[in-house]
Amino acid sequence: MTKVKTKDNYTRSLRRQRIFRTVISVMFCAISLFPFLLLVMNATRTSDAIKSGISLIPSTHFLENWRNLLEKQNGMQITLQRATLNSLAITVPGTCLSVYFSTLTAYGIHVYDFKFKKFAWAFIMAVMMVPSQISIIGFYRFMLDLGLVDTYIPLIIPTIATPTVVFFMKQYMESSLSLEMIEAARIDGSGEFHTFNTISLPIMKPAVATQAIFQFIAQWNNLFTPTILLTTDSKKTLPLFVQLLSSNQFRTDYGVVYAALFVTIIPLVVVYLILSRYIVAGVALGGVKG
Amino acid sequence: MKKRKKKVNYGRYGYYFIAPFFLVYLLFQLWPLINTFYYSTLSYYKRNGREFVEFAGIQNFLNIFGITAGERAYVLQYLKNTLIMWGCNFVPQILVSLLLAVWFTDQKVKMKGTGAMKVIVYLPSVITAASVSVLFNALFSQYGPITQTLKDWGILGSNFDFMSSTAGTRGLISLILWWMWYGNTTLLLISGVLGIDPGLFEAAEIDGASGFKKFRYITLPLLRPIMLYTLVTSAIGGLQMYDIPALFNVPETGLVGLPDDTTTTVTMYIMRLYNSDVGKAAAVSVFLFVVTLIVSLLLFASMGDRDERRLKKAQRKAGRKR
Amino acid sequence: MKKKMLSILLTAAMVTGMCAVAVPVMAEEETPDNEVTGDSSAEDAFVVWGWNDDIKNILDGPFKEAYPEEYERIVFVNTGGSDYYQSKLDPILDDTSNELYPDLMGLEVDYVQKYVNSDWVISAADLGITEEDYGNMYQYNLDLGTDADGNVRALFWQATPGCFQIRADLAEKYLGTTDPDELAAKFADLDTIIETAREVNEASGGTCKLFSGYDEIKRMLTNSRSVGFYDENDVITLDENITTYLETAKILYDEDLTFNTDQWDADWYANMDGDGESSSAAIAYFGCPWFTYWSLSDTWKDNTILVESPIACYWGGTGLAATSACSDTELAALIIKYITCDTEGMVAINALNADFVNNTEAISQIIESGASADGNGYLYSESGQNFMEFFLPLADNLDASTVTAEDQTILSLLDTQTKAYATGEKDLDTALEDLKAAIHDTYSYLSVE
Repeated sequence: MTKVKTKDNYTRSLRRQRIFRTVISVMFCAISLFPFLLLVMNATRTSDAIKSGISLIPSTHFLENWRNLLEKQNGMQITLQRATLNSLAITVPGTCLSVYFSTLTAYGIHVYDFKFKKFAWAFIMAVMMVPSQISIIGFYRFMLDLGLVDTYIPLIIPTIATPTVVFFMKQYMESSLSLEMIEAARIDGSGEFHTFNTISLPIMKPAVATQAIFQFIAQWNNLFTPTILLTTDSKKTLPLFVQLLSSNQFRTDYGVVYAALFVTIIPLVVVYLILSRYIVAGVALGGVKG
Repeated sequence: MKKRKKKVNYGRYGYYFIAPFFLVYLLFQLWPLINTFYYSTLSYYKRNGREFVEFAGIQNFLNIFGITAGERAYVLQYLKNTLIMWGCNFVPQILVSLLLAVWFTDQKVKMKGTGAMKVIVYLPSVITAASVSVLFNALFSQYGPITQTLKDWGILGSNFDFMSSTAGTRGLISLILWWMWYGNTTLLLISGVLGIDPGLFEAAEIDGASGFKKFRYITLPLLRPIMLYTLVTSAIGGLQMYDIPALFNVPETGLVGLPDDTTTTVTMYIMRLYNSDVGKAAAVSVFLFVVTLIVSLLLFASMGDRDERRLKKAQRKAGRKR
Repeated sequence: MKKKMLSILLTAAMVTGMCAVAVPVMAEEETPDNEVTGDSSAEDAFVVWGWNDDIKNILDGPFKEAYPEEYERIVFVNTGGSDYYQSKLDPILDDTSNELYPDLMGLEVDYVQKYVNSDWVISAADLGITEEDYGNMYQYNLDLGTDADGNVRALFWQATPGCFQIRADLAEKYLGTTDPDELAAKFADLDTIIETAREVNEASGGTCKLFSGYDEIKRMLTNSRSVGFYDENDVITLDENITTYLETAKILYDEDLTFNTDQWDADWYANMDGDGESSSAAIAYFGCPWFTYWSLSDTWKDNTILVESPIACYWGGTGLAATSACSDTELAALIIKYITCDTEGMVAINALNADFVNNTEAISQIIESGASADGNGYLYSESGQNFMEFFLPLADNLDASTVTAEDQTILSLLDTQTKAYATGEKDLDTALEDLKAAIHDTYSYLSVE
């Protein structure tokens, strides 16, 4: 009898704990979502209404704000639409290159035995922590000498060497790429590059997917390097366009600012929610960190 | 014997496979880094569109540290700004993340909906930092909706302006960083907790350990490596802090972190100078490189072999989980 | 699988792209033309750079009418904002093969000296523009466009005497008068201006203020300095006016006499249109001839009274200069002459927007004909003021000899220190010392003592 009662107490205390923890956790979730909610609401309100304070009731002025944005953009060489396309033109090839070549590098170190193997791995581990901001001065002058400033090449080609992706690809290979299978492919007469492309890469698909998403996010959001490298307005990327939103040219109308932010943020949120399964699972394997 | 021979034959493919990475790295990362060191020894500035270049030895370094008469050690002030804003975000970040990580993984008090919660708390970190910065600026500006509402509720004085208050602007930048990254840290710590052998908890329970004791004597020590890893990656990222302060509260004409230069970071300083004063900008870069190096070395120093093995194990386990 | 992954990525990318591209289509109406105006790839394209549409409006209007054929060749690049202008312009000036390399460019007073002293622009003499051509100009404008060796390299089309512009309906309500002379008495000197600010604040209970921000008095003081920001030995010098500005700003801040907005900010604009009761409003804005047509909102139509600035000063102005790799110096000369020298052309510019043109002969003709008397419709008709006649005496005694190549950035650094001092973060001496140190840090060739 007493035993049952203790157990009952115990479950009740557990339930109380669960409720308490859920409430706190939901509160944190609310904090994470609140700015997005305000963004959506404010994008539908007029400049004056926004200034009067927080409101969670949507209004009807989104299209009006949007039209005002288009009008503000008028005469500018860079528009939201153009900036989006520019960002895609850099990020899509950049992501493909970084993931493909990083997998290739990790594979080279994982599968083959060669003299500098240890050194190569140690080198990659060592430079993983070196941020690119540090060498930006030398990088910029070098690109200036090569005549590559104001082109997309210095934003795309260097992604071939992305140490973090190599690191995590190698980690993944250690747990899920068997050397026997590669050996078997060799016996079947498959060339080494052929084996990599047709057998090993498909096995790596979960890791490739995760790293591709993270690379896409990291490159899409990059503000630092394009700020220095891209001088012509019409070539500018989305984060650089967002920078313009904080300039006085746009600040005259808050509705416009929110409408523009809405278009830069909400699609990203939607894509994230679609891919969230991959992303959340992949964070421990090395997400982007700022 | 036979196998070994084969491996030697195939060895050259190793070089082919890693060649693109190393070529690109040497060309686009290492060479620029060496160049940056070289530029830091030059007096190299522009006036009216004309360049003036000459060798200056360590003069740039004497200047940026305020050793030369008439110079000010701005770089140290900006490092201080950076560290304050990073620190005010990191401490609450690790505390909240630890709490959520323990709760989300607690097998006894099984919370519902943790999957969705993980998705939600991680969401802010995928959004373009530039957009987030402009969004928060719009919300908290002098006549922004949040400021206005806080004033209406009497929480803020009618004359208060986040953007002209040092604590206000720094606090908001820390808040943004916290908001963006605590979800990421939570997920990292969750993978750490899941890497702990469940047998340890069971044994402790048999010994009658309370929930807090289990946390204090099992979870916390075993999470040490992954927390150190989080600390260092966050510190290195924090030292390069740019996107948010560079867009949050700056005048249109330049990268001065308002109010009164108190939210200018080291990388903003580099960006302010990169075209007008190449020598000084390079010297600041070298300084930042050294600071980053020291932080990384501290990690390796404080992380014993055991820690390292545990970190790897935790990472591998998290990787397999998928 | 890589393909599948790629397809996921591409889909994601597409969705993002579509959202951005598709919405404008949904928003009906035609998508505006956002490109550079004109065809920059044309063989004989003539590229003109400006940071807003001021020059373009003149080219589209009077110039097109006078030279329709030449007009067709012009490609106009608007960089959107003066603050970003230099960082956009400089790289392209070093890149003469760029399709958008400017043949002709607009240069604002705050940095025109940098360009006229660079290798990037050629002189008026190189273009075949003679002293006789620009004989009717105001001297201060000629000085602004002259390099250290005395060559005139940039020519201006407008004179820009500073003044205060007062909203008549609010002045009536809170200052009790719309008489220009009585109002002028309320702006007689800095102390009186502060008094007036207190009067308005009390009368309205704080919903209407004299100024939107304390920086309304900035240009009056910085653009009437007797010493520049550095001397001939490149030693940084701060004029007394700078101290005066900081001190006055602090009074205005401490007593809550303005809304503490920044010039050109959204809230600064908003205060132009407020009614002073349910929404905040400012009575006076620092102005000049171009400010009237360029910046004042419609609320100010038939509602503006002009008051002399107590200290003679100028504000802004745009110089035109041809670049060293200009593709067609003849056309460059034609445009510059038409816009900045030619009396007929300048009368036409005045007809476009009531600007006070930089040509004494044209001004006499305009005043004689009675054109632009109402300042593009902004002047309060009952005040009996005449826009052109008001500015005529003010334009005569302007002095811009203190302007340096670095003024734009230095003035921005001044803003930072002014705010820090006004809000009580530091004392006056520290603020001034910090300003000098910041100038030296930005321009290492300028030294502190």
